[in-house]
Order: sequence, then structure tokens, then C-alpha cells
Amino acid sequence: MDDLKLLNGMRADAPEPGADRLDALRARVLRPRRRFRLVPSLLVTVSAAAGAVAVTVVVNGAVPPPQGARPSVAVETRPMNAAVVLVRAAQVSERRALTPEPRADQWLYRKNMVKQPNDAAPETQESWTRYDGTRRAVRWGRGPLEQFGSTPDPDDDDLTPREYAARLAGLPTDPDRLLAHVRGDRHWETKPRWDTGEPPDARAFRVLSVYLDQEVPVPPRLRGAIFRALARIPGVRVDSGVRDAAGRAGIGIAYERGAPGVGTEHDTDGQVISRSYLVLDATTYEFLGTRVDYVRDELINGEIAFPAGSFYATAELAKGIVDKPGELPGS
Amino acid sequence: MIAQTEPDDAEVIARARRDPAVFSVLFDRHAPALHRYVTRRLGESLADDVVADTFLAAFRRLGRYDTAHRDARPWLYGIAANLIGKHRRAEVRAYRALARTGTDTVAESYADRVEARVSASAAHRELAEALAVLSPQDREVLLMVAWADFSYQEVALALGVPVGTVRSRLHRARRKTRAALGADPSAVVEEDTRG
Repeated sequence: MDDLKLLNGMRADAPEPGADRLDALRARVLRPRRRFRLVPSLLVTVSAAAGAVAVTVVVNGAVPPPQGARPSVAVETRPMNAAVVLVRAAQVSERRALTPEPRADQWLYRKNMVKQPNDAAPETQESWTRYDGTRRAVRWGRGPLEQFGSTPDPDDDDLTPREYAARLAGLPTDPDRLLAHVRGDRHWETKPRWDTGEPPDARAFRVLSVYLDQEVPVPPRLRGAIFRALARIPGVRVDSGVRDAAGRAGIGIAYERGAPGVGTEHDTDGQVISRSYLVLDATTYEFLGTRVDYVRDELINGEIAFPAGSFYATAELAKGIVDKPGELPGS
Repeated sequence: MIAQTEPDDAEVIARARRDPAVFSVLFDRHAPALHRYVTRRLGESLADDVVADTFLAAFRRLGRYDTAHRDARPWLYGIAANLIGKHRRAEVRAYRALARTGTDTVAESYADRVEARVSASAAHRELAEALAVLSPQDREVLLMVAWADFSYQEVALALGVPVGTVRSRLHRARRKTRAALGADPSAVVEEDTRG
């Protein structure tokens, strides 16, 4: 008797979940509204609240796709000299004072706004993460404060803020060395250990973007090195007049060459479909938020998911260190 | 009529990074089979927790997924394997009980009670004994192959180990299952077609 075949018959009557069970699970994972809706998924904050999603995308729609090339919409942004802007951003960043490290029992506070392409109004989310990563709290809009414990994953994929700060502190602050590092960094390295496949420059852009969009402060010298490294990546572009979810105009950093899931998205004819930005204040170069502009209709299975002119955006409205969940900085 | 092609997992993930709503496509595609697999390991109610936590973790890690891998199954099952590992003692306890008493608490979790009382076959009891004593790593490989129908390559991706390691772990695991079944343990045949 073949052991594998026999094993295959063991508990072979286990069913797939029924529709009710699956619906309940889906609701748990894709919590509609006010539970934890994750913020900038494009760049993925490491310890942002567990994910979730409101709208369901209909994938098998019967709407015929528009024929021929998709028309583009005009945007009010203007390209700038990327190298000049990024070096300036580096110089300003390097002059900033080092932020003192929070105590393990202190909490990182962050208030974010998210505007979905198909929603009229943005939503706000406040989150508190204990610096040692053991507890989190979230408030949606004016909803109640929801607190929960946080179990770190057995692999080192989920870093606590403290661990993340330690990782940032260990990165090279020489721009060339930093760039070489992030070109090969899968962020994270230990898991999953996939084959490489993502082009190195796209990976570098993605990983550097993740660093800039963290709840833990990036040390000034590293922040400078990140901008100098971005300036060395061919295809990195800077536009002025890019607005975050709160409507604040800043400079937008984009990766024009793009790769699947990273930077500017093109159709098969090479036309730009959407452009993703990290939005920074034009004078202080502080992180404001992220934005994805749909320049042409974004189609999913032939259906227009996000029409030309729509956008997804986030905005970081406040940030700070507090002693208790629910407390606001400066209060 | 317009031919519509389903976007593959990598494309869905790339889009979900821009709009989290698209993530539901990945859930609908993979949650049913993953749930069944975890049910076989841990029973139905723990499967709910593991599957929910797997997709929540996957959502948080969308930005780090390497879209060169068009099929997200190894990634998802790798996340699930870590979460299943947290329930290792419960899993092993159920194998032990099945081996000793012939009653399968895991099967009872999903089956009609009366029906489930039908005791397991002698061979399954012997297998359960072997599953209980395997190292967690060896068991993971064996069950991914036997119950999730993964190739060696897929197991390697899921667990983040080289294919050679998958082979040797599977070989070691099968020596034990064969010994438990009273067969000649050295007669394990490598199924190279899988890799």
C-alpha cells in the first residue's frame, strides 16, 4: 500500500467551507469600514493596523471595454528637476535633530486619512502602537477606541516599532551603499525567500518608499541617504502640485519606469494608466502622504474599476509619542 | 462576446497595493481550499482563525510580495504554516488520540457526530501515530504534499527552504510513515515527477 495514497485518504472528507462560513470569514478579513482599514497599501506600513477593505470589486462584469486607446485626463502637476529636488530634500533632512527613542511602554500615535477612488469622502483613522509592539489601538473616525493585543509572527516578518527602528539604525547611510543594499533587499529578507524577479531598481524604489512611510522616525542621516539614493535611480521623477488626501499640495516622487506593482503603471502600448506618488511637503520635505492618480481608466477584466481622473490618496495628519492609547500628542 | 482573462495572483496583488478592495479577489480565489487544508490539520473552528489570520497577514505584507511569482498559493500556505505551528500541541494531541482510540476529534469537528463515531481504519490510526512523532518541519512538508497537493518547488517556496531540503524532509517523513504501516521503510521511492 502506498503510504502517500493512504495518507491522502485520511480526513479526505473534510469539506470546503460553506457559503455562510465563507461570508463570515470574508467579513472578518475584509472588515467593512470602521474596523481596521489599512492605510497606504501601496507602500505598506509595517505595523499599520491589520488590513481591510470595504468595497467589493466585481471581477466578472459584463461591461464591454472601451475600444482603442484610452483617453487620458489632464493633471495639474508639473515635472521638476528630480536630482535637484531630491538633493535639496536630503540636505534639509540631514539638518534635522535626532528624535529621542521612546520607552518600551510608550505609544506611537498616528492619524491618517484615506481617500478611496470610488468614495466621495475620505475616512480618518487614528492608531496607537505600543513601542514594544505588544499592544495596539485604533479609532475609526469618531468611533470607539478599539484595543487589542498583538502577537508577533513567528518569523521576523512583522517587526515591532522598536525592532523596525533598530533595523533602520543598522542601514548604511552612504547613498551608494544604501542603494546597493535595497536593490537586493526583499524587505524582508528572511521570509519569504523567493527567487529574485523584481527588477533591482523597482525593488530599490519600493523598499526606500516603505522606509519613508513608517510610523517610527527615520534617523536624519538615513533620511538624507534615502533621498540621495532615490536621486540615483533612473526613472525616478518628481512632480510639483501633487495633493495628498487632505488636499495639501506638495512634491510627488514617482518611479516612471514602473514594474508590476511598483511605481507608474503602463498599458501594453506603453501609455501611462496610473502614477503613484509619495507626497512630501515642498519646503520641509516631511512626509505628507501617498497618492495614485488614474490618468486613464483602470480596467479590471474589461470593466472600468477606476475611471480616469479618480485617485486614491492618504494623508498623515498627525504623529507623535504618547503615554497611553487614546491620548493625543501635546495634550 | 469579449474574451476575458482572469488576472493572475501577481496581478491581483499588484492592484491590491493600489486599491485594497481588490484584495477580496485573492480571498475568494484561495480561501476555500486553504480552509479545507487547515481543517484537515486542526479542525473546523481553528481553521476559521488560521485562515482569517493568514489573509490579514497577507494583506499587511502585500508590499513585500515578489510579483515574479504569479501563483500566490505557496506564499499564502507558507503564512498559514506558521500560524498552524502555533497550534502544534493541539494538532499532535489529535493524532495521538486518533492513534490510541480510533476517534478523530478533527473529523468530528466537521462531520455529523453520529457518522464521525465510525472509527478510523487501522491504517489511518498507524499513520496518525507516525504523524504525531514527526518533527514539525517534516510533518509540514509531508502534509503540504499529501493534503495540499504541492509540488516540491511549491513547498520550497512556501517554507522558504531549498528544494533539496524539501526532498530530504519528505524522504525522512515517509520512512516513518512507512515504518508505522509495517512496510519496509527503505522502499521509499522518490517521485521525481513532482518536483
